[in-house]
Amino acid sequence: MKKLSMLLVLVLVAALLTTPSLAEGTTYTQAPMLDAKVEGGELPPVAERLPEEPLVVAPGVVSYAEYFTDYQIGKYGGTMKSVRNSATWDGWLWCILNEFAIESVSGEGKDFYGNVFKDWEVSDDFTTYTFYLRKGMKWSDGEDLTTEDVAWKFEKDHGNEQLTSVWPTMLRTGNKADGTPCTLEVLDDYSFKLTFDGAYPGFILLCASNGVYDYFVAPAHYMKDFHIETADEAELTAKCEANGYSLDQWFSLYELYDNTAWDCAAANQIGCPTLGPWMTVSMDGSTATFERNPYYWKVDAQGQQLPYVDYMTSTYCVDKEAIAVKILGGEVDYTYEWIPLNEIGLFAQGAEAGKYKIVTKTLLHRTGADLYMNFTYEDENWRGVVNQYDFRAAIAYALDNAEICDSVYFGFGVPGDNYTITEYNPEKAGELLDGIGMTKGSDGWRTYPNGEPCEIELAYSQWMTTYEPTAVLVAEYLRAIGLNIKMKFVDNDLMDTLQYANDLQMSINFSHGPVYIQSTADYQPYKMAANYYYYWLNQGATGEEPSELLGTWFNDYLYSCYGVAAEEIDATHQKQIQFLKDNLLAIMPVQDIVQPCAVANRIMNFPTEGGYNLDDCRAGEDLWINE
Amino acid sequence: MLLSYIVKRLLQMIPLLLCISVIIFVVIQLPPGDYLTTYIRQKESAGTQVGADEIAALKARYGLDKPVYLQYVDWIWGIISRGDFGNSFQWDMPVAVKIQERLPMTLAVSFMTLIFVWLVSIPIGIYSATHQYSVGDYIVSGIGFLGMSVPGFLLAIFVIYEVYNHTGIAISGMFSYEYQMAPWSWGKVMDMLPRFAVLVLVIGIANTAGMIRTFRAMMLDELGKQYVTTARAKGVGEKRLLFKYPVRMAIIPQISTLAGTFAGLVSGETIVSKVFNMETCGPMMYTALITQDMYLAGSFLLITAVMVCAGSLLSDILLSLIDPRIRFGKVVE
Repeated sequence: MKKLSMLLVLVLVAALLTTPSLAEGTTYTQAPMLDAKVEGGELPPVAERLPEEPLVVAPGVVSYAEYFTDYQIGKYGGTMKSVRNSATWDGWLWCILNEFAIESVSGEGKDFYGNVFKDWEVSDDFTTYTFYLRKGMKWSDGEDLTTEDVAWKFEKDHGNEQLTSVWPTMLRTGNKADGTPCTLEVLDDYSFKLTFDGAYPGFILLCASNGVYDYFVAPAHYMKDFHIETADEAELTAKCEANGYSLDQWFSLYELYDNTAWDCAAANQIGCPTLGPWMTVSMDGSTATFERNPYYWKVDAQGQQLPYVDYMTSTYCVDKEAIAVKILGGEVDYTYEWIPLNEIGLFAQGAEAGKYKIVTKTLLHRTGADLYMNFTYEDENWRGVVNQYDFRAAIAYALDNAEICDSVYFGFGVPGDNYTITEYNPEKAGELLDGIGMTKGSDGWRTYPNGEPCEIELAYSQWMTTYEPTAVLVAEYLRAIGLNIKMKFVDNDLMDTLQYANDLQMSINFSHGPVYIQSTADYQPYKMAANYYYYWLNQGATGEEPSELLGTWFNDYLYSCYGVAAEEIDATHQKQIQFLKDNLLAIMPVQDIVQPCAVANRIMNFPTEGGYNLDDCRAGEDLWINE
Repeated sequence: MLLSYIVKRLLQMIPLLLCISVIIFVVIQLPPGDYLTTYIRQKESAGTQVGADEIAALKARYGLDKPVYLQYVDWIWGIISRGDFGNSFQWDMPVAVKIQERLPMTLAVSFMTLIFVWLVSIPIGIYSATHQYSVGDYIVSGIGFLGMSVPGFLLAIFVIYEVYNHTGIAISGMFSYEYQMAPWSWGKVMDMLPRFAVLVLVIGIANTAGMIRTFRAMMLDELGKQYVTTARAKGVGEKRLLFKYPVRMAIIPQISTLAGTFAGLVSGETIVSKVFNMETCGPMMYTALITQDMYLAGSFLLITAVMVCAGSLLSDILLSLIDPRIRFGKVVE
């Protein structure tokens, strides 16, 4: 098998998009806050801190040029203010601080460019990927980034069963849970090869959507002091004990000090080398502070080292209302997804006093409030009907999607023609139910075909502001066709627990797959049919054998976008959506929804004119403060 | 005699607190699910899939796969043997650190509130009892009823809205952004004071109103008693007469409810503080309970339980000092 790759002609797909380069003779410059450190000998000069070929950020690189109205070369300085509602996780910061191995412009999954990895090559059978690092690129503590860091990640981290119990799906053939893990071959200090045992054309897309650098590299020079195989035993024991662990729990200590994407606002990140534009420097009560990474490897078109902004802070707020108050008070530079549609008027009113502007993008990376009908809920009568297309179609006909658009989304959305039947026809819905034997009993409610009473629970949470009003309307529509719907409010944090446990009958929730080209496998199948999904995921070890319909969905559609070449992704995604619609696996009443957000007036270079909301978050390094 | 009584009471507290800690631990575990689920959902909301296998591995790592009684034993032994309250899942930090961060500010707010309540309600209570059915009494009682019936969180929302409307300042947190991370200075104190005062006022107002009512009722009871008439007949001055006996009597119910007051010191201001987004213990305990950050939530509840026990001990001691009938009760027999 392995010999095959030698015969292959390596095709240079590299950098579908060519990133700009600097004019001959450009000298690099740095932020004034670093001058003293360079003069004092604490830091080497900026030219020595940058890689040989830094990534040049200009319109069209991180975000498409047409998404900006007024892109300018920035001025250094200032502090950007963020808020979060989770102890250690800040959505905006997460997007900003995480550098992906490969990126696609504006996160739209089309034009790929080398980010942490400068370049890549793909064999024409899509089994071998060769990646090239940037020569001279450094971690935030000044150590070189080399393939030693790649080898460390694959061998000592992914390869260690105590640290990584399950080899990441992304690094298995076809992004499948049962795929074979890839093998790593280090070619030299700056290039390495990953080999899969089958074609995996979607790997680059995954690198861009899911491939945060910590999937591929870890600072070996720093982490070796935390690893059982390489650390000095006495020192490691002392470190473990200082953190309340015993030596045989060393992996917990390792995880604690590893700079992983998810803990971007956690105290233990202080001191861990990073490749992001800012590094965690303090965690003071509720506020985490981040300072510029002096070794950041991107520059602007004039050779100024990025980021422009000196510091970032993230302040913990107890709930979304507290965040709203901070936004109104002008204490937040970018609001991420914190503004609910139904309160947009309040925020528009407060814009002048709070010194921000409301931005409404055309694309959102998630759906709004979808209706899931659990195919594997533990009730024989329910299963008997929900597995029939006519039942699901009846539900789709019963929903007045246009009214949902108006009253839940205030017109910021249209009926979900791509995903469901948008015709509002309660009579037809009634006929379909009659047709499968669900006729009305003496009390006016429909019964199951065998005459037993039918009572359906519709669960919803308040995680997003659209959930509750959608649930109320859906319940009304379904009651109107004679289905006895019981609404069930579930705490936000409990929703998924119950869903994982197959305990919800019908529920209101969201997914990414239908709308976000970079996450086409994310239809959250455990909401559709938890037990079927587990069976398929764990190769029969748990759950129940999927019905023919769901089996086809899992096997032929769910991961299909990762099995095709880049130019076929759109078409494949369309097929996925069509299958979803044809079979009504879940009902998405609304499409093209938006999420308004607020951006402080002082923040410059913000892509406000189109694309995904997520795009706003990705380019933190070229934002600057105009005051 | 008093000393041996205190020691006896302290010893009684040990089994009591152990029982409470078991109940706390069980109750925290009652709702389905656990912290990990929240963590997993966050991952998913940003587009990362988490397999069932990975979830199992995470569970094992956090010790959530052990039986509940073993989790309890580990936790309580940590507290007893080395003051280790366990780790907060949410913050990825020792619980003790998080509590230490917030406890001083919480106690400051609570004690100030307590002082505010007593300072305001006792004089007003005395006034309205001694001037029963006067215009002043009606005004004070009217305001008192209003204060009692308006919930604190509503008042908090109202205050935030009005302050924002008139000044553009949004009260969210104990400090404005500029001073949030700054070391203590005169500027920081001045920045904090108005916010601190608003918090104390809003939390205190309901208690004040309630206390005025009880104080007034107790005073009226006492003022009609024969010993007052006798004392007055014997020529005792009005002021001395008032403070020597009836006021002392009227304070007794406040002291005997010290246990509840003490519990409130740690978590009484939860909802109001949550609305104001204050960095006190209440909101943190609330979030810990919601996200099932069990060691953090459990530790807050345990501290509250300790406060209740300490409060009831203190109130018993104070009562015996202030009320001769309790002190001499046994001697007479």
